[in-house]
Formats: sequence, structure tokens, C-alpha cells
Amino acid sequence: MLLPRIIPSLLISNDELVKTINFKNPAYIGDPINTSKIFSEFEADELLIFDISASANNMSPNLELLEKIAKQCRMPVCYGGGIKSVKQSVDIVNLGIEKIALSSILFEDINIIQKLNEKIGSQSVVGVLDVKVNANGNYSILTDNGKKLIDKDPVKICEELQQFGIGEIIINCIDGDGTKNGINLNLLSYFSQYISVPITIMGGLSSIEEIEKIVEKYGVIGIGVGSLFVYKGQFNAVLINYPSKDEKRKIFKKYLQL
Amino acid sequence: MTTIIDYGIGNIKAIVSLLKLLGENYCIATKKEHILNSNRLILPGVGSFDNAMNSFNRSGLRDVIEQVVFNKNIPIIGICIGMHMLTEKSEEGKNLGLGWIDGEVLKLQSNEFSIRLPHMGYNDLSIHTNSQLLKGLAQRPEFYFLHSYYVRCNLLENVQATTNYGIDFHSVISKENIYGVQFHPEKSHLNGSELIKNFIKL
Repeated sequence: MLLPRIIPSLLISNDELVKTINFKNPAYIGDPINTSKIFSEFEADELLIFDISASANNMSPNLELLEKIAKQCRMPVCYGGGIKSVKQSVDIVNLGIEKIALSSILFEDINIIQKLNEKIGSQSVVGVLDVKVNANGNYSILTDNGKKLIDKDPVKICEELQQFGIGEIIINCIDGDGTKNGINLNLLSYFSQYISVPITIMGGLSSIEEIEKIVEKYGVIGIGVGSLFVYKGQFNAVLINYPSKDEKRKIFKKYLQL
Repeated sequence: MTTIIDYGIGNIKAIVSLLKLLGENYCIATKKEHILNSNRLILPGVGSFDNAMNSFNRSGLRDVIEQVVFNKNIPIIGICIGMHMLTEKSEEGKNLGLGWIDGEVLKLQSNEFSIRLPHMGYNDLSIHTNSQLLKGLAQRPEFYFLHSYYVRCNLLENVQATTNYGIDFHSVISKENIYGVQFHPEKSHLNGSELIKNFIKL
């Protein structure tokens, strides 16, 4: 039976590991290579790596750093940040990285999805939608670390990404990021009705127990986790952590009995 | 010496990292001599079936690989698209496969919200044959899958394990010294390294 994916999500800024709150105020966490190694030793299901300085400063991804990270990982790695071309994507896959996450380029040249599908396969092409909840309860998609508003209906965006052959969609809730206030289930329900490729939700997970509820309701899903897996306790002391195999079995128990 | 076939496609680095971790001597084969000196071969693959077959046929390595696989009987394992290439043909493209194993590649059937495509994540194997390749693994070992197409062998004797995703599909296949796995052992933590360790001992 296919299992849900519990995925540590790491942010890189100027080659350092950081953690943001609502996409702002990056706090230093540590070394991305060492942290990736620890998550590999914890047997994390996958790893998400986003370089937030690459996208913000229009820099190319740091291939040297990515190669070192990939080397540590006995699980699939998805990289996003500053990717603008097919060549960059292929170069990154050739480093030993399985998935390429695209964001702003999707709104500049959506054809890149088809071109990438040919080269690296649609299963490796991931669209990231950074979502903000508006005052009226509607949703907006933003790019460039939440700085640029995409003036387009999110439903239409989801439909187009799938028409062009995207392999997975990550819904990243800006309002939840770094808060540990819980995943916005209204937002997840809203988007999941328009998405038939695998979905990964992230932004605000409050506890391991919350994963159980999400899986019970949504079945196979990816859950991206930032703060909860790098911080511990009420004062947010840095401590890399991840549920053990037994803990995961417990979380998935109801799902596995279906 | 384990040799990874480099035909300009595929996630070779991840396999290299795993072989290094296991302390296994490896070679990345771009020339005929590399193939001739090898004790076993790994055939990786990413992208579309046609793209992979085109690159493989253009690599100039096909003849020498067929020579060592069929005359010297050295073990070869195809991973993901590399496994697909071992069969006759694929629904994903127009090119012919290698045809080393009697079977074809078909698309998994999606069921909008319960069976999402691609099939992505850890899923388990139901082992049919207690083979050397799967030796020492748990009863239903989990591996990481990432694909939308699957292999259907025509002969059940070629099926070592199946996996369920909407249907039971053939996730580990073999014919004599030729093996194929749908999942990614290089990205499946300890089960993956166990399987590659077993392959190295073949």
C-alpha cells in the first residue's frame, strides 16, 4: 500500500540553513549538508530543499552545494529556487537530485513543463504554489518569496499546470509558514478538489499527531515540514528531529487498516 | 567491479554514492572497454522511454552490452526506465525496447483522487520468488517508487515481486542474469542498499 510522505523542508539562504516565519525573518539554523545527512540517517521519506536567496537575488542554483547535499541523501531530493531553464534542471538532476521544483518560471514560460517532461520525465517536475489567504477568504498565488502577486485565478493555474503535464503540486501556505499553528485544512480541501496529481501540503504543521488527522482525511498525501523538524520546545531551540519508523506506523495505523 | 552504464541519461550520481557507501569498486561506462571489463552492469534511466532508448541506441554501447549479457552471462539490473527498456515496447513511446524480457510497458490507470499519477512514494513488495536479489529483506519491504508506467511480463516465471497501486503490477522482474526493478533502490534507504548489496554478490 502506498504510504503518505512526511518530508522535511529545508530553506537555504546564502548557503546556510535558515527558517522563516511567513516567508520573512530568516533565522540561522545550521549547515545544510550536515542537516541533510541527519535526515537521511533518520530515514526521512524525501527531502525538500528551497534556496530562497537564489530566487530572490536572481542567482543560479549553487550546484556545488547541491551535489554535496545529494551525496548525503539515501532518499529522493526535490530542489527549488532560481531555476529558469531546462539546462539548469537537467544539470541538477545529474547531480543526483530526483525532482525539480518550479515556481516563478511557470508564470513566465509554462512550456518549460513539457520540455522538462521530455528530458527528465513528468514525475520529476514539481510546481510550487505559494498561497496567501486574503482578507475575504479567497486565495492568491505569489512568487519570488511571496513578494510578487500572480494576477490569475488559482484554480485556473492548477488546471493549466496539469494540462501541461506537471508531476506534483506543492501547496505552500505563506500564512502558516513557521507558525506551527496547524495546516490550513480549508485551503487543502479547496486545492485538492482541483488537483489529480500527487499533492504536497506545507506551512504550519503543529505536531506529529496532526499528520494522523490529515492522512485520515486525505489519504496518500505529501506533508512538508519545516519548523517542527528543526526546532524543539517553546523557545525554538534548534534540534533536528523526525518521527521514527514506529511513530510513523502509529500515525499511519488507521490509514493502513483501510 | 560494478559498472554503471552512462548513455547520457539517468541519475548516475545517486547510484555512485550508494556504491561508494557500500565500499564497492565501480566504473562509469562510456566506452566499450569499460563494459568488457565489468563483472555486472547497472542500467539507470530517467525521462521518457523514447528519449532513453534513443540515447541508448546512439551510445554505441548496445552491441558490447548484449555481448557480455548474453555470451558472458554477467548480471545486469535495469532501474525504473532502465527496467522498462528491457521489455519489447512501451505505451509511452514509439521506439522498440531491447526485448530481452518478454513483456511490455503500460500506463497505470489513474482514478482522479484515489489513484493519483505518478505513483510517488514508498510502497511495498509482495515477493513471489525467494531470489538472491531479494534475500534478507523483510516480508513486505518498502521501496521508493516514482513512475506512471509499469512493466507487464508475459511470463509469470519472470515476475519476482508485485506491488499494488490500483492494480498489482510487476515491480521486480528477472530472466536468468537480467533483472529489473521499478523502484529506486538508490533512494530507498536500507532496503535499497540491501538489494544493491545482493546484486553485487550475484
